[in-house]
Amino acid sequence: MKEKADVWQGTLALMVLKTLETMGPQHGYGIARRIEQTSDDLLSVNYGTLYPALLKLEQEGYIASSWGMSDNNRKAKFYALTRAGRTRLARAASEWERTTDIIARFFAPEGRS
Amino acid sequence: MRLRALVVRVRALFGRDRLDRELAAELESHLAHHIDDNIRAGMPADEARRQALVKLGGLAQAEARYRERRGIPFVEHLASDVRYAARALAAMPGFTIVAIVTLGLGIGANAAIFSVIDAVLLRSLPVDRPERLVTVGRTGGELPIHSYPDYRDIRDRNTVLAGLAALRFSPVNLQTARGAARVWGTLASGNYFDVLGVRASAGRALAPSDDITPGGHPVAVVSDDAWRTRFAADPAIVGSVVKINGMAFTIVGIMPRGFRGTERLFAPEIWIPMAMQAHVESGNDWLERRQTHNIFLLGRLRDGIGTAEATASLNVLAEALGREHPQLNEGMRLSVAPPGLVGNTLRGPFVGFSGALIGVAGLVLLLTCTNLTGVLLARSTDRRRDTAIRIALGASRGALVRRSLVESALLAAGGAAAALLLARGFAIALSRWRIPVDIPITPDVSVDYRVLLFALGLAAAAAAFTGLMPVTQETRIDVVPALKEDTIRCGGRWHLRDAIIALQIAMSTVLLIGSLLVTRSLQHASQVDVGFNPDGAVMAQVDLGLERYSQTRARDFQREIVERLSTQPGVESAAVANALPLSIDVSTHSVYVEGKPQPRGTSVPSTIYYQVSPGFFRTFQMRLITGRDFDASDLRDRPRVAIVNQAFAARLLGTGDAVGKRFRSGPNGAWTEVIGVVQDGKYQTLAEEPTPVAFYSNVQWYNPSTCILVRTSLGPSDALDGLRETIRAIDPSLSIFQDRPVASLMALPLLPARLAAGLFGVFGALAIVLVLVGTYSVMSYGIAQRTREICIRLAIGASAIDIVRLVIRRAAIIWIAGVGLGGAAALAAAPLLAPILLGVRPRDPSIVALAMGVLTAVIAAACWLPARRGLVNDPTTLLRRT
Repeated sequence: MKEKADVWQGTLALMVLKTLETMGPQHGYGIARRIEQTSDDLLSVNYGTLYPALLKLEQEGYIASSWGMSDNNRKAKFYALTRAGRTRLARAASEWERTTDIIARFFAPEGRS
Repeated sequence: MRLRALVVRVRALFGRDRLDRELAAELESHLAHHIDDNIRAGMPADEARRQALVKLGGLAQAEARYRERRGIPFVEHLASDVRYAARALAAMPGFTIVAIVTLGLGIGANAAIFSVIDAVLLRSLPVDRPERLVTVGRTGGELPIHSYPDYRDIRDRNTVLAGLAALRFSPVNLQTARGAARVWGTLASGNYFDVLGVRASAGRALAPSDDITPGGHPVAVVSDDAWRTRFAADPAIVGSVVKINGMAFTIVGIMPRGFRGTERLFAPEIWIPMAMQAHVESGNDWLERRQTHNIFLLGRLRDGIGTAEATASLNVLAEALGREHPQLNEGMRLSVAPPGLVGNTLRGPFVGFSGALIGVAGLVLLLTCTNLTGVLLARSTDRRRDTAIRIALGASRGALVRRSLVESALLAAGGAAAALLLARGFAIALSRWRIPVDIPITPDVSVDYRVLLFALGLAAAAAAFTGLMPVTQETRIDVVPALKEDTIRCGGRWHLRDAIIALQIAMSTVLLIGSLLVTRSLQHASQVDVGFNPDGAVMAQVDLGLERYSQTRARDFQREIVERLSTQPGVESAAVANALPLSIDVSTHSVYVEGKPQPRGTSVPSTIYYQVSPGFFRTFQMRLITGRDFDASDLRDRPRVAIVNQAFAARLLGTGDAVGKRFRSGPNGAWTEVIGVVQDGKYQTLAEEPTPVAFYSNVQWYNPSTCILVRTSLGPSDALDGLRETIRAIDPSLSIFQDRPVASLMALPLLPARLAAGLFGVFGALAIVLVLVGTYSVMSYGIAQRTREICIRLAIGASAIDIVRLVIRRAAIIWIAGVGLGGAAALAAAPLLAPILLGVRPRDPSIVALAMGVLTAVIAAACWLPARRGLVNDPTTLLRRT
């Protein structure tokens, strides 16, 4: 049980960082919607889990937050990638590629080709 | 990054309100955006809000998860537990104060005793690599002392010691610009400070070059304490001149602060080269005499040499010395041991005594803890409903354990604080207290970090002990009935607290038996026949050797003082002696009896001896059994005569009439004739077996140390005034010491018994109070709980007697179990006390019976009040109310 949650938490953090890189500063709800849209609504983010993840990233210094006005003209807390966050994302991205590459080799239909 | 997160989270522990508000605002903003989206997608307003809330997964849970991530939940919960426990304790100040005070006494007694053990056994001497220092002991004789020629041989011929120093403790008359005083010093060989690796804090330490020509090195170094108290901390004293026993000495250095020499219990003020021995101990030049054993040896092991190897090698040397000087050294064995306790002689007794004390103090602490556990257990039963609600609401077992432990930890922390105050007070009192002897015996006791750690460790153990037992009961609660509170508690079941009370009674029985034993022992010790009558006499001492008296002048003084005193009003008789029995000044010599085969080496018997004036036995009221007292016919040029005690006559002279037999103190030399026999007495301790003693006439055997003794019909303070005036009338410049009633001599031999009785007395009283409080609180609690049951019983026709029987039966079983267990434990443990008991058998049945009787009375009193309260209630009103 615990292991699954960890994986999910880890990938969620990665998605948040990537989203912020693509979209620039964004508030919590915006990040959640964007992740769902990017996954073609295959992923359903439980919004409640998003905020602890954001807090953790902020505590670790990968993102920074500040209050501002949203497109809807509402007060919202905006999160932005820090330099440490960009470095982390770059490293995580290459790690992710290597991992998926390795995993892909295991599942490639080798015997048939 | 990890560290950064930790810092942020620790910071988040503070300013939680602001962070809470910010989270609420953020989640509110999230909902608003989501609702906006939903409405745009065509939902009605209330449905839009509902969907948004569902998707967020519950506001409260989201906030809780967020908070857990934000701070450090463990610390936050702990903080709230501490607040809760502090409020709970403040709500019952009576219980809290009693708990903290008893825990403080329990932990404090242990910490105080530990501080002495720390000072005497654990702390290292302030010297270079103290673990490599050894004292070299010698078989035969009571002290590990050697002759100076033997020292020189051992020092120069051994192969296992990097250095070997010699030292002797001796009083000197120190005359400074601020006046004269008798202070204790150390005669030290020139290499003493080199062997220790200690340098002076000002000037220089003594060096080997200060110890070459006998009488040719009038230099000295002083301790930091002496520098402060006797020289007003004047740095200019280095290089200045003082008079020691009338001779000019140059102070060449001040030793560092905290350096008190190499004995733990003895703090000399001044160090003088051994080459000056004949001057310091004027008229007694023993440096070149191989038969005079006067010095302690202190060596430093060579690197890589262990104690076993050193002992083996030194004993090869001892055998060689035995062959070279068979008369004196045959059979001599050497040993090495850690230094600091009169060589190593006091280590065994000290470990035994302090071990017994800390064992008893530990028992007191255990008793305190069980007492507290009993009360906390009763409270945890009180909190059943509260606990059940918590469990029902989802509190984890861990949270319950934590709550209980935090409470007992708070109490233990309070107890530890009280204990440290107590230990500190004890250390201060001890440093001000002087053992009733004229030697500066002062253990350097203070509350250092080891004592602190010890007290905190005990407090932590006490917290775990008192907190865990109630909590294991608490978490086993059956939630539903506890919530409904519908159980009628009947007394049928036995509880853990009953066992705890029994255990308390058992431990108190042990403590009480111990206190009664040592009290009886003290009583006995003060009635021991010491062989003289200490009451109605006063004494005063002068040391004519230190005062630079010539022998002729000193002899005149000793004769004149007795003559003058004898003519004074109220004086029955007066005498002088070199020392008195039961003081710490004890001299011994070997005994060779005429007509008996001559023993050799260490098998030569020895005797204690005193040099006294005629009239000493009359003044001291020591009974002469046969023969005569010294008189005017025992002149200097006549053959030496002696009066011996019964033990000397029986053990050394053999059968037949002792008077007329002859002995001598060396294998050669003139014979001494026995002219009388006096009754046996006590000379060193009250517990000693009869010991051989010889008395010589001070006319025939001169000794400059002069103890003046007056038996008078006046009160002690008038008699002492008269005695001091008479001394000053002869020589106003003499420094007088030990001027006091002879009865106060008893303070020293009675000291161990008094210490033990004092400590055990406190512990015993504490034990009784704890049993009283513990039994009372648990009994009254038990009865209060059974009020309904008792009322129902009364209502359906039980008589008051039945109820009393019901309550008493339970108390009686607990009492029998406790007292029986305690009695058995005391009988098993009592022999441990045997070394400090005098005239009492450790398993004295009358004492065991007395202890049990006292406890029975205490328990009866503790049960009576609650039982009566349980009965006077009117059943109907009570039943309606509960």
